[in-house]
Amino acid sequence: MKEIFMFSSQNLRRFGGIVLWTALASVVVFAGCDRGKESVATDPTGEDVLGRSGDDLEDVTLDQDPFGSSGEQTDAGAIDAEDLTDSATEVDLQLEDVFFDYDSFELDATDRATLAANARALRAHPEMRVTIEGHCDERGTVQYNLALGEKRARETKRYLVSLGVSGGQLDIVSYGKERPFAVGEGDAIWSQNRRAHFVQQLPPLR
Amino acid sequence: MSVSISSPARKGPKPGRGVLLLAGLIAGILGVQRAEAQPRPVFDLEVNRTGAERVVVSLDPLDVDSPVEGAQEAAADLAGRLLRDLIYSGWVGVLTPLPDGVEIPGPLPGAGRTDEESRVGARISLRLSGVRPDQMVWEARLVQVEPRSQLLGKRYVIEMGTSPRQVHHLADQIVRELTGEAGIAQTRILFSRKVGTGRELFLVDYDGEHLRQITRNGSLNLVPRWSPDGSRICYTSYWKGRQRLLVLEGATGKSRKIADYRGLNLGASWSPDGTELVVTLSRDGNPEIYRILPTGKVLQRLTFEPSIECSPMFDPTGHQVVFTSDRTGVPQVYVMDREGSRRRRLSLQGRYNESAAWSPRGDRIAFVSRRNGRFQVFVVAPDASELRAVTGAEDGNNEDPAWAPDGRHLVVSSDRDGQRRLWVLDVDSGFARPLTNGAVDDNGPHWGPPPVAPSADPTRRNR
Repeated sequence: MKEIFMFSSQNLRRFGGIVLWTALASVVVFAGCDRGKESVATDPTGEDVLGRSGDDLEDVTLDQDPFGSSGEQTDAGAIDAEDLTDSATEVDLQLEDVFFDYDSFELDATDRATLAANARALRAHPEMRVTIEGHCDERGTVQYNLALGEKRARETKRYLVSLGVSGGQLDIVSYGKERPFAVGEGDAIWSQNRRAHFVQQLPPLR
Repeated sequence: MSVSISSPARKGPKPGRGVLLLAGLIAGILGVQRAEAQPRPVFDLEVNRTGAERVVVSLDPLDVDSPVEGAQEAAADLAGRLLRDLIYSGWVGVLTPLPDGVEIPGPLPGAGRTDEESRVGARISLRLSGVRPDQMVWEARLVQVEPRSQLLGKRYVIEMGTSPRQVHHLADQIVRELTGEAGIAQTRILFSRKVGTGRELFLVDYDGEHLRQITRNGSLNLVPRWSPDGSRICYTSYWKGRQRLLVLEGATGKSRKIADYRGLNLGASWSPDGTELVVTLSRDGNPEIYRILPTGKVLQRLTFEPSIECSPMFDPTGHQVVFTSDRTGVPQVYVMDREGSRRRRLSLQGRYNESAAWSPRGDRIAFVSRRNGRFQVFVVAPDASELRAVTGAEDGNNEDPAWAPDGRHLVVSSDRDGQRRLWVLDVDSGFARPLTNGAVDDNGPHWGPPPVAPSADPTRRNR
């Protein structure tokens, strides 16, 4: 599988300029600098040294800004984001989400009952693959929430496997706090976002 | 009258050449700043960390010699931007009132300006000439007042109607000449911005200008980190629904996958020499910290805990790693050596401490701490002493601290004005300014290296 991202040629050129920019920016000094400095420092007249002929000046040339100087304001809405995991499938296993307490990945009795039902559906369709997404509420840091979401997804998978579901049916991914289901403040919102969410994958080609 | 600038807060390299700090400046500027900070003392600053020791410069009346229409206004704009860069360095103050026509675009800290002419240590003289708008000659001189000495003279060719990088270059030259400190005016900040249902990586100049998007893959792209030389960016991406670590090569503009392990592929931090990264992987069943090569090859697993281990970052020597662990049941910040041994806890208060960032000077570590239900940025010395808050209860939530190359400024994501966007904080003075516009959700900033590595800069002297 080819796994290289292509970027627009415009951005490719811009970004590609970093190295050149770095190299050229270091070549900005002419030799006359210190000489000009001394002659002014010892100027006995005390006359204003400014605006002289210019031999006290060092010419500076900067490379073109590799990222462009136009101040491009990218239109945030211009990109078509595709969700590659939410694909329609023929069989809907009707897997229910499970929910967690703040900063916790423990499954309570309600969650275990939900997962028991999910496990029955998964065992009935061993050909179906499912991604378990771990999610968190917005409170807390990006990286820790990604790790916490991972623990939630992993704990959910572990329990399903303990109920006889094949581990090969279950992939996990953490979205941390990056893809909340509900937006806003307060525990009514946050509790919806602390979840393990099931996404069915496309069935294999026959 | 030529004395060294002393800054008790800083343990980094000192300027080899003291210039221009004028007596009385500290107390005077400090007074101004404190007065402006009231009645909202947002920052819990110790007096010796106020960073109020600024070298004061004055600007001579502009010298414009050009028939080009708008040259006078262009000269004034260049001057205003230059003075803003100098003030934003944290080290330079500007005498007011300014010459006719010159205005400094805001937002500005109160401490950046003074009207006491006796404090002026150096004068800046700017001249704009030329007959073609796209090839104007901009000359700049920096002259020490006492003893009289020209410290610097530069000549640039600039294009009118732009906000040229030459201004930033000159500002950094002036800052270094006056203080021995490396300026940040030419630096850029990388971050992750919400776009549709995903996030893309963006770059913005340190002053908030020149925003540009650098990924367009429609996925979630998170936690970007520059390599030390600025040539590569490592980030986490969810291409096709799987979390991977990618490296975007500046030379080609392409991203390639470096880590695609089952589970987490997260939070890369480059070693100072750029040869290794510390990352969070869960390939062995739990979020743990590993050292890997930029090819993705695992060199060593550093943690072996059943708890969450994440958010690793090298110290500037590469010998130590600061990271987060919730082995006590809640996330706390720890330090270990690069082999994973000699662990010690750094955060001693609070029940949620995360996102540690080691200053490039090595003298302090910024991190996020939850206090009274909100997330605030604190700094602490590597020996766990000198803990203090950089943001406070009235600043909303503040996360994702990342240091500027000067070890003095932080960029954070903050919702202090409602929208989560990036803010730049002067840790020493307390000045805060918005960096991005806040129309969308920005996070995960990383402050880029200066365009010229210090050791490779031929203009560098006295260091």
